[in-house]
Amino acid sequence: MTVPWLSIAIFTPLVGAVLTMLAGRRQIGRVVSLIASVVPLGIGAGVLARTPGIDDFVLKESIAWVSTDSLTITYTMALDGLSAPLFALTALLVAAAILFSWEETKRPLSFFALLLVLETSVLGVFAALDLFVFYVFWEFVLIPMFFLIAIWGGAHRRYAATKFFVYTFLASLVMLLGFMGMYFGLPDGVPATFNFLELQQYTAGFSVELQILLFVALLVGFAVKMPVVPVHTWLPWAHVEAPTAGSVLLAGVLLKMGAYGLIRFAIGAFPFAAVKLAPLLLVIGIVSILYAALVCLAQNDLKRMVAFSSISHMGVAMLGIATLNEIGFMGAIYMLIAHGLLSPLAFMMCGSIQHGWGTREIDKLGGIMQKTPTMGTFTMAAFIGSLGFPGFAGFIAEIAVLVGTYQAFGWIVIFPLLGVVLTAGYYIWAIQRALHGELTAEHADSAHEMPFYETAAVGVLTFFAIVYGVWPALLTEHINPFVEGLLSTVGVI
Amino acid sequence: MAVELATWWYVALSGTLFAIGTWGLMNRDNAIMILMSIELLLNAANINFAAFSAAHGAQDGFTFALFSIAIAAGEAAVGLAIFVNLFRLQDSVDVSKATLLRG
Amino acid sequence: MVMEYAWLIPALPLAAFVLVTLFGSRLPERGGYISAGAIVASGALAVYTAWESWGRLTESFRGEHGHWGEAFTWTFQDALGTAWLEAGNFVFDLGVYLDSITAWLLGAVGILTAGIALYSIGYIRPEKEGYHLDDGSPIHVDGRQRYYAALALFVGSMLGFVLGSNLLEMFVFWELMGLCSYLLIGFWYAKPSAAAAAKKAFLVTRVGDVFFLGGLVTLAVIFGDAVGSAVALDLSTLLDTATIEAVAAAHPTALGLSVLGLFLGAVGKSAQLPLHVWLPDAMEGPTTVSALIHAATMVKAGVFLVARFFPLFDAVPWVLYTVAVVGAVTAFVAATMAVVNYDIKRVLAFSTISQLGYMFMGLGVGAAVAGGFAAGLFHLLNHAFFKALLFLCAGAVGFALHNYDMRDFGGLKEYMPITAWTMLAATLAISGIPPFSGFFSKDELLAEAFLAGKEHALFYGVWALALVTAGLTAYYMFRLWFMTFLGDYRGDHEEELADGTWHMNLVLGVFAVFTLVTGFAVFFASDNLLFHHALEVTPAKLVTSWKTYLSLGVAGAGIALAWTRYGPDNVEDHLTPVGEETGAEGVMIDRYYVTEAYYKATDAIVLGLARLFDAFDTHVVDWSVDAIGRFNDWMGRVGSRWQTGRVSDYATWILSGLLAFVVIVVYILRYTIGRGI
Repeated sequence: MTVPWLSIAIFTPLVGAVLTMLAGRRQIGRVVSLIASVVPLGIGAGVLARTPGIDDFVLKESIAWVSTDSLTITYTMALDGLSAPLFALTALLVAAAILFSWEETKRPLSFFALLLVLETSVLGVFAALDLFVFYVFWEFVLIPMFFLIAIWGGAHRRYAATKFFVYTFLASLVMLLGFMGMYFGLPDGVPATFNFLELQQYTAGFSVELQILLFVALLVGFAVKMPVVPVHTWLPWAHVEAPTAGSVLLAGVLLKMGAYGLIRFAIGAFPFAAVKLAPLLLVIGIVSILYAALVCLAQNDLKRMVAFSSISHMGVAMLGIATLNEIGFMGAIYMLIAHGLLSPLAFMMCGSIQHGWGTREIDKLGGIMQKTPTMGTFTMAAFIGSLGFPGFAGFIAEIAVLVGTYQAFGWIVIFPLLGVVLTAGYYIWAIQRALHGELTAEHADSAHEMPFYETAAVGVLTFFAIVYGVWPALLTEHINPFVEGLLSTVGVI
Repeated sequence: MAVELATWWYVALSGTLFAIGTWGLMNRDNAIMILMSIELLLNAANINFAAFSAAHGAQDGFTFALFSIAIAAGEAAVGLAIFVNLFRLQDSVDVSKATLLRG
Repeated sequence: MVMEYAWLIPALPLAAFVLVTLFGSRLPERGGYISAGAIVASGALAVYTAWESWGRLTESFRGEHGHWGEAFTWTFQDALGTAWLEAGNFVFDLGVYLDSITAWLLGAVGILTAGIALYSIGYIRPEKEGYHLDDGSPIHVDGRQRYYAALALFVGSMLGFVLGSNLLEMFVFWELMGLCSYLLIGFWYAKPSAAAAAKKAFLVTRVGDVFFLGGLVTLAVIFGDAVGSAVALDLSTLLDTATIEAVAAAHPTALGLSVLGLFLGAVGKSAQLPLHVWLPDAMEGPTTVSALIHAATMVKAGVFLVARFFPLFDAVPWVLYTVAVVGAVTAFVAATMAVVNYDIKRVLAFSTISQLGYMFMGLGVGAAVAGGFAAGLFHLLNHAFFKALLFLCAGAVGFALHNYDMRDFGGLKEYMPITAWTMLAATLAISGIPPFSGFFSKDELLAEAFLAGKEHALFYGVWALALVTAGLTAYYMFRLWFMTFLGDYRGDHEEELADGTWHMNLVLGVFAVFTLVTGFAVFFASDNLLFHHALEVTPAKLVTSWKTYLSLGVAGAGIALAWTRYGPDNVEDHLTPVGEETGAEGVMIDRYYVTEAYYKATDAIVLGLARLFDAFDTHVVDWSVDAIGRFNDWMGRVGSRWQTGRVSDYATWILSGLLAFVVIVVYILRYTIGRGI
C-alpha cells in the first residue's frame, strides 16, 4: 500500500489552516502554520534531491473521481521535472512569508490560515494532471488571495482585490471553455475524460482550426495570469496593495501558474498550434520586456517598480517559450524559479523598508544605507540579482533565453538585450537614489533595522537565489529531461 | 324568436371592452379603478368566449367563461384585501405612491 | 604538476570572500588578514604557474596548428563528472585554460594584487561616515569588512577571468569584476558624488557588456552549428583556426558583428571612447581601488579579451582596424584632458585611458604586423606596474594630506622621499625614457605601427597620433611630478607630511624595481611565443632606428616644456585657481562635455519614453480595463431606470410583451402552416 505522499503534501497546509484557526493565541498559531507549511517543502526537496534528474512522473496518484456516462473526472496528481521545482518553491515561499509576517498584529490567525489555504491551492495546481481538478485548484487560489489583499492590504485594497479577482476570473473562464473544447473534441469512440495524460494522445490530432482556437482560448487564461502586456494592468494594483506576504506569493507562485499552464497544457496538447503561433508569443514577450522596463524607470514607489519588473521578467519567460528550442525553454523554466526567488526577495525588502522607514517612495527616501546597512545590503542583493547579474539564478535564465532567441530568431535578440540595459538602469538608479548618498530620508531618527525574523526570511531566499546561480546543474538536471520530452513532441510535427 | 346577431358584433363589443380595460389598467392611479379595469378585461374575454361558443354551437366556450367568472370573483376578493392593506400603509389607494420596490 | 592546481588560484580569494562576508566583523582587521593572505598565496601560486607555462608555446604566431600552440585545460567536467551548465545541447563549463598568453597576464596580476593587498593593510583605516544625528555626533561605521570582501571577490574574479576556459565563464567573471568595481567605487556610499560615480560606472560598462553578451550569444550559436553545441564556447573551439574559417565562411556577418560586440564590451570595460566617461569619476573610490582595479587589472581585462580571442579578430580584419583607430584616438583625446587637470588622481585616470588606447593600438596593428600584437601585450605588462605604482604614490600623498588637488602640493620631495623617488621612476617609465620599462614597450609599439603602415596607410595615421600622444604624456606626467614634489609647499598641513606606513613603502619599492626590470623581459623572454617569434622589430633594430630617437626627442620636448611651465621657479605663475578655468582649458577640464551630453540624451530619450509609457499604461491600457467595469456600471444604471416600482408601468410592459408574443406566434404559425410544414 503506497503512501500517498503527494496528497499528504498538498493537504497538510489545509489541515494546518484549520488547526491555526483553532490555536487561539498568535504565538501558537504561527508556529503551527510554519510547521504545516514546511511539510510539503520536505517532500518537494526530497523529490528534487534525487539523482539523476527526474525524467518521468513521480509520486503519481490516480483515482477515478467522477465516472458517469456524461462526465469522467479523475483525481490524477504527479510531479515531474517542470512541476517539482515549482512545488518546492511554493512551499518555501509560504514558509518564508509566514516567517516574514511573524509579528502580524491584525487578525494573525486568519492571516496565517489564509496563507496555508493558498499554499494548498497552489500546490494542487502544480500537481494536477486532470484538467477539471486543475481548474478547481486554479480558481480556488483566487479566494484566499482576494481576502489577503482586501483585508490586510494598503489604501486601495478593495479596488485592487476586486480588479484582481474579476480580471483573472474572466480570463480563466475562457480557459475553461478551452478545456471543455478539449473534452468534447475527442474523436468518437474514445472515452471522454478530463485526464490530461490521456487527452494529450489525441489533441495533436484535432483539426488545425480547432487546435489553434483551443490554444488561443487557453492562452487567454494563461496570458492574463502571467501576466503579459497588454493584459497586465491588474498586477501593479494587486502587488502594491497586497501585504508583503501576499505580494511574495503573488509574484512568486501565482504568476508562475500561468507560465506553467501554458507550457504543460497549451503547448503540451497543441504543439502544432504552438509552432504556428510562436511569432505571436515572440511579439508578446518582447513587448512585455521593453514596455514594462520603460514604465519601471518612471516609478517612484519601490513596490510598484518591482511589480512592473515582474511583468518584464515574465516577458523573458514568454520569449523563452516562443523560441521552441531546448535552451530557450530551459531558460524560460529556469526564469520561473529564479524570478520566483528574487522577486519575493525584492518585495520583502520593500516591506522591510516600509516597516523600517515608514515609506516606500524613492523621493522620500535617500541614504538609508547609512542607518540601516543590513536592509540596504539585502536590497542591493535583491535588485542586483533581479537584473540578471551573474552569481544569481536570474543570470542563468537570461543567458539561456538569449542564446535560444538568437538560435530561433536571429537579430531579434537585440530587443531583449536592450531590456537588459534598461533593467540595470532602473534598479541601479533606484539603489543610488534610495540607499546611497546623503541621508535625506524622512523620519530618520525613528528608523530601525530589520528584525531578526525578516532577516531570516530574506536570508533564506538570498541563499537559494545564489545557490541556483552558482550551481545551476542542481535544477537543470530536472528541467532538461522535461524539455527534451516536450520538444520532441513539438518536433514531431 | 331570439334575434340572431352576427358574431362580429360580439367581437367588436369584446374588443372595445378589452381596449377600455387595458387603457384603464395602464393609466389609472386608483387601485380600485385598476381592479375594475381588470374586471372589464375578464368580462371582455368572457363575452368573446360566449360569442364564439354560440357561433360554433359548442359548449367549451361557455364552460370556460364560467370558470373565468369564478376566478374573477376570487381574484377581486384577494385584490381588495391587498388594497385594504395598502390603504392601511399609506392612507390612500394611489398606486403611483406605492413604489418602494424600485431599482 | 602545478598546473593541475591552477584552479586554486581563483578559488582561494573567492573562498576568502565568502569567509570575510559571513564572519568578517569578528575577525582581526575585519577580515583583512584573511583576504590579504589568500590574495598573496594565490598570487604566489599564480606567479609559479605562470613560470611553468611560460615556455609552453612551440608554434609561431599564426601557427600551422591554428592554436596559439599547446594549452593546458582543466574543467569541472574533468574533475566532477558534470559540467557547470547544461541547457539543451549546449554545455558551458567552468575551467582553466593555460597557455602563453595566460601566463603573460597571470604573473603580473598575481604580483600586483598581492602587493596592493599588502598596501591596503596599511592604507585602509576605519572611517567615520556621513550620518549625523540631530546633535551633530557622527555614526561610526567601519567599512573594512566590505572593502576586504569586495577586494577578495575582485581578485578571485580577475584571476578566474584570466584563466577562463570558456567564454561564458569569462563573461561571468568579467561581470563580477564589474560588481566589485561598483561596490568599491561606492565604498563611501554616503558621499553623493561617490554614489553617482558608482552608478555611472555600472551603467556605462553595462552598455558595453550588453554588446559583449550579444556577441557571446551569437558566437555560441554559430560555433555550435559548426562543431556541435556541446563545445560551442570553449576556448579550444573558439581559437581553432580551422573552425574559425568554417564559421567565417558560413556566417560572415554574424561573426564580424559578434567580434565587434566583444570589442565594444572591451571598450566599456577599458574605458575607451565613447564609453570612457566612468573612469575619471571612478577615482571617488579609495586609491588602492583606483590602483588595482582602475589601473592595473580590471581595465586591462578589455585588452586581454581582444588578445585572448585574437584568432577571431584576425578573421575579420576590419574589426582590428577599428580597434587600432579607436585606441589611437582615445589615447590622444584622453591625453589632452590630462594636460589641464589639477586633481592628481584624475590626471592618472586620463593617463590610464590614454595608455590603454596604446595597448589597443598595438593589438589593432597586429592585423598587419604580428609584432604589434606582441608590443601591445608588452605595454600592458609594463603599464600595469608603473601605473599601479603611480596610483599608490598618489595614495601615499593623499594618506598624508587628505587632499588630491595638486595646487595645494609642492616641495613634497623633502618630506616624502620614498614616495617622490619611486614616483619619479614610474614617471620616467610612462614617459618612455630608457632604461625604464615603458621605453621598450612604447617604442616597440611605435616601430611596429610604422612598419604596419606599409600594409595599410591607416597605420601611418595611427603612428602619428601615438607619437604626438607620447609627447603629451611626457608633458603632463612631468607636470604632475614637478607640481607635486618640487618647489615650495603651497598647502597648510606641513606637520602631517610624511611617507606612509612600512606596508606601503615596501610595496612602492618593489614596484619601482619592477618598472626597471620588466623592460628587460624583451631580452630574456626567448622562450615565450610573443617575443621569440612575433616581434618584427628586434631589440637591435630598435636601438638603431631613427623612429626611436624621434620619439625620445618628442618625449624630451614634453619634459622640457613641463619644466619651463611647472618647474620650481615658474610653477606659481601657471596655476589656475579653482573655478576660474576658461576657454580651451575649460573645455578640456570639462572633458569636452561628453558626460553632459550623455546625461541630457538619457534624460530626454530614455526617461522621456519611460514617462510616456507610464502615462499610456495608466491612462490608456488601465483606463480601458476600468472602462469595461464602468460600462457594466452604466448598463446597470440604464437598466434600473425601468424598475420604477409602479404597478401600472409593469402592467404596461406585460401587456406589450404579450402582444408582441402573440404577433410573433401568429406569424410563425402562418409561416409554418402556410408552407405546410
